[in-house]
Amino acid sequence: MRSAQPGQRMAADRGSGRVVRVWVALALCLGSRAEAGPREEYFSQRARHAVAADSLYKSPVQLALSRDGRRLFVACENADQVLIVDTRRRVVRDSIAVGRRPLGLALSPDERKLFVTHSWDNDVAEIDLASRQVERRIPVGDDPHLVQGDRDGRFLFVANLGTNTLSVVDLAAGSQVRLLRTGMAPFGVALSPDGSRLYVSHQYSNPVPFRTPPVLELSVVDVARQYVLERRELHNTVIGQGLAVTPDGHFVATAVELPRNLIPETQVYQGWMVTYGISLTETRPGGRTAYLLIDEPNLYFADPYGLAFTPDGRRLLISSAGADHVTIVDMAQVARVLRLEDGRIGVSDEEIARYARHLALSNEYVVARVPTGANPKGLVVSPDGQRAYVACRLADRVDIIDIPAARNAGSIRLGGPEVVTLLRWGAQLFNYASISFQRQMSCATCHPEEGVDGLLYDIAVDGGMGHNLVDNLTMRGIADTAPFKWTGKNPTLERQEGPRAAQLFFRTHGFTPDENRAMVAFIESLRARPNRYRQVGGNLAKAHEWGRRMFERSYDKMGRYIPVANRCVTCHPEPYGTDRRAHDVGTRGYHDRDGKFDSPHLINLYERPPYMHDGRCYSLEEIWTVHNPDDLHGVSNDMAKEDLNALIEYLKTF
Amino acid sequence: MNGGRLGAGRTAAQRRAPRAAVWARWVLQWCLVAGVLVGPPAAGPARAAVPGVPLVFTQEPEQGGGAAGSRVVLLQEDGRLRVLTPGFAAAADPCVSFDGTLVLFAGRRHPDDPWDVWIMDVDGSRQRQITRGLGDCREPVFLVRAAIDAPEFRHRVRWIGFTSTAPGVVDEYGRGPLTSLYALNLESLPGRGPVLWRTTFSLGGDLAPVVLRDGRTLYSSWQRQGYALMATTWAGEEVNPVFGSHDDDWSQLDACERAAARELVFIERQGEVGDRSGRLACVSWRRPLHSHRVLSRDGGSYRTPQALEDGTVIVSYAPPGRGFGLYVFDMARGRPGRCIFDDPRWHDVDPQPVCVRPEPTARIPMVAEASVLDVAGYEGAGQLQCLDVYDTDRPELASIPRGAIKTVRLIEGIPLTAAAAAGQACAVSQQGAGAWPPPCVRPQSLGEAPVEADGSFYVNVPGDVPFYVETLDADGRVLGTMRAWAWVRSRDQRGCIGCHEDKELAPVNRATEALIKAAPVSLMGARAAVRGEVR
Repeated sequence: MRSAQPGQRMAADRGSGRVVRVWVALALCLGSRAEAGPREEYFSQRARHAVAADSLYKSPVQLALSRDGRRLFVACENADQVLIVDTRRRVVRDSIAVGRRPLGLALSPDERKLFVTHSWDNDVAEIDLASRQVERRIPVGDDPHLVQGDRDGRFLFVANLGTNTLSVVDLAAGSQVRLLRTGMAPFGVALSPDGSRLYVSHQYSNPVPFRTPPVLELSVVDVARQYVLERRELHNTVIGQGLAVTPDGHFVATAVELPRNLIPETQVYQGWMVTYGISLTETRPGGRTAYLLIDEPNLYFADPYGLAFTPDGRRLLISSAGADHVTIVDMAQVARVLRLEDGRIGVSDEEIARYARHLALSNEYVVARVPTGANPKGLVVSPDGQRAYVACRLADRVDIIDIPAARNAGSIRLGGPEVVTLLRWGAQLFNYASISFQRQMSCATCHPEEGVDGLLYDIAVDGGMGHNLVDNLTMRGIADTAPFKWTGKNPTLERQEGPRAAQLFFRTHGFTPDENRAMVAFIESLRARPNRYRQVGGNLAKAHEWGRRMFERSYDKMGRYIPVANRCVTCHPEPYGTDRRAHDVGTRGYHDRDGKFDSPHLINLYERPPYMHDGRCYSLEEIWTVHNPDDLHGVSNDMAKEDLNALIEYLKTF
Repeated sequence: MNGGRLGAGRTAAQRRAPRAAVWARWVLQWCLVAGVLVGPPAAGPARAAVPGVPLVFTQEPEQGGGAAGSRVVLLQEDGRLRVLTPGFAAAADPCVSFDGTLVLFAGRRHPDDPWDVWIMDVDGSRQRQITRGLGDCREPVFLVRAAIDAPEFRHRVRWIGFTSTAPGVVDEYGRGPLTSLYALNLESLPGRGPVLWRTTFSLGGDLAPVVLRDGRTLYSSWQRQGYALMATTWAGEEVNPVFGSHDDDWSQLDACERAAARELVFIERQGEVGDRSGRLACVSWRRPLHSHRVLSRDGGSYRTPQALEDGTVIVSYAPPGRGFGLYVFDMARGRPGRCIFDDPRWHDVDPQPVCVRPEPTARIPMVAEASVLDVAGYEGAGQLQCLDVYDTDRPELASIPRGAIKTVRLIEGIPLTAAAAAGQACAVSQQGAGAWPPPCVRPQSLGEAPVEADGSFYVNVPGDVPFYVETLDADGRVLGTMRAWAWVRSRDQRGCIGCHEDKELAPVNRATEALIKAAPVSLMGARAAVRGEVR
């Protein structure tokens, strides 16, 4: 049964309060470190629509549960807090101020310490639970997401989404001692029951040849020796987030999307755009992977996020962040369908391929769909397997699921405002899939964490099927970078998120005018993550200065004049890195009807591969080393490698 | 009240019967009179199916003739019946608006008039004619509120759907005039007059449209030997089968959606559809192709089920030897439960609750003037691509070796006028039921397009034209023939996964060779040269 429309859900979430939409907002400084200059002004830009309440939302995203099931720890990404919840009394007992955008949580084996990653501060905090104080903060890689400790409590493993690495932190030393290369955008980490293996899920596909299906990596780490033992491939999957190991250690389940980005977007019906499910990977070396959908032929469960097994392994719970439901899967039925035995998948490769497409197979193993509050994310199961807790990020509450009864057994409110502001409403609309036909996708489906999914798309109507393939673009930091679309056809966000999105993507009538205003306000409020290459107000490093000179130069290394129109700085000026005009820079592909493209902004360029309008470049280097033979996209063929490296390092500072 | 058919005096034979048998017979008769043992309850005072919810429905004359002489009535909350369509020679097919204030119906003022769509207030006032000159227009339904004014799509207006014989041709088996679905704006569009879109282009006949919660129109479509349930968007895009087969003569008709239970309930019968009565059956949205079950267990005749918001199903039911009345269907027992209304002088059919219903999900269409697609040089064309002709669930097609199919031929079906059909003597009795191509259709090749090594093809086709597909080998021999009509709406784009692919499978994610080439073959011109004879 469809959940309420966001406006209605808004009513359901309001508790005793009324829905308040604030049209003229009190501008609120969002905690910037602004000093002076256009870049600084951008990053300290006042959120045009924010009101006081917007800074008070909790936005719970991840959970950790004590072994006795009595203490629930909640990472609240908007409030920069960790809450401690008494699960028996269902009340918040304490809150601990932490760094910016807390995300991952891990308890030490003796449960005296809690570790929290800060995705905006690039570190992990160690909290003493007795004193409730942050004792130390240990720098790790960029955009750290989920964290897992080893069984001995000696090391932490932190997935650094921004740097494609896994930090190994020595807790005794209090520092990162090893950095392991993972796949693209590592997200989640899970430990095998015997503690010998660590599994890492990923958000983006590894580099694949142009116009081929995405491939997520599932990294397998030898915990004792601290190196990547295996790199498994999850075929035609993307946005791998939550993962969990079966209690018997035989399989790893990952929540995934299975996109159809390579086929023209002519329809939505029958899973034509995207489907959702889990991958189930044998943990034995070289083991196989099967894929099972949690969708149905006429209804989809968008944006699977959290995964958790009951301790007996009989049930698997999956939160669908875009569908406001938790799906409960019967693992005995999964075992029957896949003929699991002794840690092996018994069905053939042909059956694996078929099941990965099978929309109705969920009838065999899905036993219940439990409605939750808005945007359910992190999920944990109680030690007795009777209850699950799910963080409802945009409802500021934790829902309790009675697993045997398969029903929502109530909520624990976390103390955020009852009111739903304009921006909050916009966030709910962004993350809720009811906007699309049969609830097949939300905005967040292609823009997880308001960023990119790293895929190219065939938006069929643009020039006809097979033409004008386009790379997906971020939603962050784009408020002042109109026009939109790679062709620059959409002059405003209202147009971009309005009828075009409704007609071409969602296949509904889209947002009402009020909803569109909320959506636009929400998107405009999205700031880019702090750029790890250059702090706001900070000076360029010397290496960047070199790159800047390459960026702004008027003569090449042979002394030849570079026309103004062909200088990097002309089309990509600060602060956003775009002149907001369309140019032909010789990047037209065989599938393109036209060669003119709107200059893309360069904000946090480093964190959103692939590149170019059609996503043909997985690295920035390729833009010039492969796709600029005639120096039409700036003059680069005279550069030495170190010149190009410097240029690229400078680009990363935008 | 039923007319006292029970309770006649004892016969001579009965007087001579053993005492126990006589005693048993008396008991049985009294039980029958009390309506306890068998059959539905005797029609008592009319009551609303749900307290406080009036019903609008059709009364057809008991002596037969279907809708001729029928009328639309309102069963009010107090149990009184009110005729809403006095002054009509015939009126039928009521449909209540989502806000419960208006009723669409089909009516003819005079017996010789064609059927047209009318609208009135729910109390029968303010009747006004909606359609004119479109042949016989029946079975109107309220559709979504949607905009078609590209590119801003600001002006959302209410649309209605209905069946019509406007094409002016006979159906593919010569059974009678072809009925197709149409959509028409009920509210005016700024600067525009009426916008009338034909939304289905099958040549077998389409009927019984109903709007689903997800905004699609569900309807029954003739598929060679019987009616199957199909769904399309309100504007005629993405037509897809829901349930039914074109390989047998079972028909699925007059479906309704039990939204909370996520089920479709419909009438099912084998052979001639006649008055469209049959048994009651259902499928689940969770797995419509494999969840069929028969609901009715009593063997009676059912018509026009209607689901209420609380999941209650109201049916028209005729006990043996009696006319149709309105009953609540007892889902647990598989038989009619409480009688709502039954006037023995009429067949009481097609109940429609007068209440507020949730609006279905609307959609901005990607067809005709609402589309931004321009196939260069071809007004109103559409585009069709197939991912893999070898992706099939038909055993006879699955046996075709990969690589054997070199070409697809698209064959347009040109229907015949009544006069032409009579001249060709193409009635089904002479050709055999289910013959393909159908006898009352003139096939004409639109042309051929190459099939790539990976099974894909990509064509530009005339929009709004029914066609079927043949797959050919290198020598032009037909390897497979599609035995149903497909079409691409004007300025629409459509993808097929395969040739009769398993409808429970999502497509494979890959850039096909046809798409990489991105050079659709144009099948827009005059009949292309073909190999062999097109039958």
